[in-house]
Amino acid sequence: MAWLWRFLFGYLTIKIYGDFGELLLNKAAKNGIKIWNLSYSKGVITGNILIDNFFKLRNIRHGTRCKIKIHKRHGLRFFTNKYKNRIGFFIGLLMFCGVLYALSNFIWVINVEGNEKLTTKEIISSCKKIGIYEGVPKTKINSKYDSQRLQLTQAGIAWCSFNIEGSVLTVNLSEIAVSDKEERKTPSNIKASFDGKIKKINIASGNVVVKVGDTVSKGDLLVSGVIQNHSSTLFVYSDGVITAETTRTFSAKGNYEQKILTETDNIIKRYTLNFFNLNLPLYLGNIKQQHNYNVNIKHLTLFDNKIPIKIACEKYEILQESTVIYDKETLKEILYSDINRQVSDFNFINIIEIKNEILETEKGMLLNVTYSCEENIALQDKILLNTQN
Amino acid sequence: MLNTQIIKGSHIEIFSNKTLILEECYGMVDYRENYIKLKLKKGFINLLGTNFLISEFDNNRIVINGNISSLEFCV
Repeated sequence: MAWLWRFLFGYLTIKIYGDFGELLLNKAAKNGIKIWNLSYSKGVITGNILIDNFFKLRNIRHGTRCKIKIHKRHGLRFFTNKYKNRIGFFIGLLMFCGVLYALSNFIWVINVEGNEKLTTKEIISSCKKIGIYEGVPKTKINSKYDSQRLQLTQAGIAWCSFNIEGSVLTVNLSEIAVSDKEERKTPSNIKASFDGKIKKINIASGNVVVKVGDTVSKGDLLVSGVIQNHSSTLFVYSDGVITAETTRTFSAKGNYEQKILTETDNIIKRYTLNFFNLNLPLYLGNIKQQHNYNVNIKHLTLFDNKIPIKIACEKYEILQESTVIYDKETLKEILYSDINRQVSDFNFINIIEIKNEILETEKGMLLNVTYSCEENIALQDKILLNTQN
Repeated sequence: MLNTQIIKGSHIEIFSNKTLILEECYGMVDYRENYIKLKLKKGFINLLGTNFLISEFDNNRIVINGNISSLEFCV
């Protein structure tokens, strides 16, 4: 610690000239004046001394026939003196400290620990959904409440906690032990995905709140995932099939003359530097042609620790536009295949009736297909927690 | 344990031929580039060598670093 003391209060490198330098050193030692790193070269003694002791040494040098000269000045005191007229330097130093203090109130790096099956990207994405991301103020993080919200948002988490160290947030978690066949499930209700009349109820878990014969509208609660026990409240994943009679109409519209986009070999790469969540594009201009876009982000590390600097590589695949003219039959086939694609998204249990309607439009045709059918209208809806804290 | 009642005088420690620590040093009699003469309670000690650097000299304690080639007591 002596070096720190000497640096803060300043010290001098002095040169002692004269034939009786050792006499002066003896006097200094007797008077408690500390001189260190003494060396002798060509009749001159060089050593280091504290500033206060230097003045004492000057007072006791009489009678030794020695001359003392300051060779170098060291320490913070002289460093600041050197720059005392440079106000900008001190303003810069103050601003640096201020900015450093301000930035230390934010989260700049998020680390995830304890994940095996879930990817770090998935968890960081879930954190973002609940308002925890790189650049969020530390005060906005309520560890207890947010860890519960993360459990509800991201399926497969048995337990998690948030630990903040400086500007680094570490998400510690343990995953639910599930077999490969079993799906990761989050607590949820079942709501109606479409208007209909309930025909059959087949529930594996959850609390059923409707009965067969009921007419329900889209969004109505069918099965609740909140089960009140004697002493506690359980949140469960509601599972089951609710069959209802529904009527759905699918439409597809197309022109005889259509513009289609085809991929080309022209691929443009552009880089962006993300510095403390501030995006700095490393390119000029923008791409006006139609394109497919994908981005690859690389997080920079220093000594195996992530730092809040990222480099994003954006890839633009340029598309070419061309015009195609279809005849009536071909267009009809395209529209039917479009309807089939829409229908394939639904898992109809039983189709009762199908009605087709083709309308000629000014430039093409409109196809309406109405399905009367039985389908599963159970729609999973995650349970959201709400708190004042 | 040394019995200090029996062994009186200056306490000298030497680490190889590189460092010498002397307690109860009563002053420096001569100081040159390759030669240092120190006063003890009784007599003197002469050091010959090169690259001498006195890293500490106060309160009757002196620490000398360098390449010590010879050490001589003059009692």
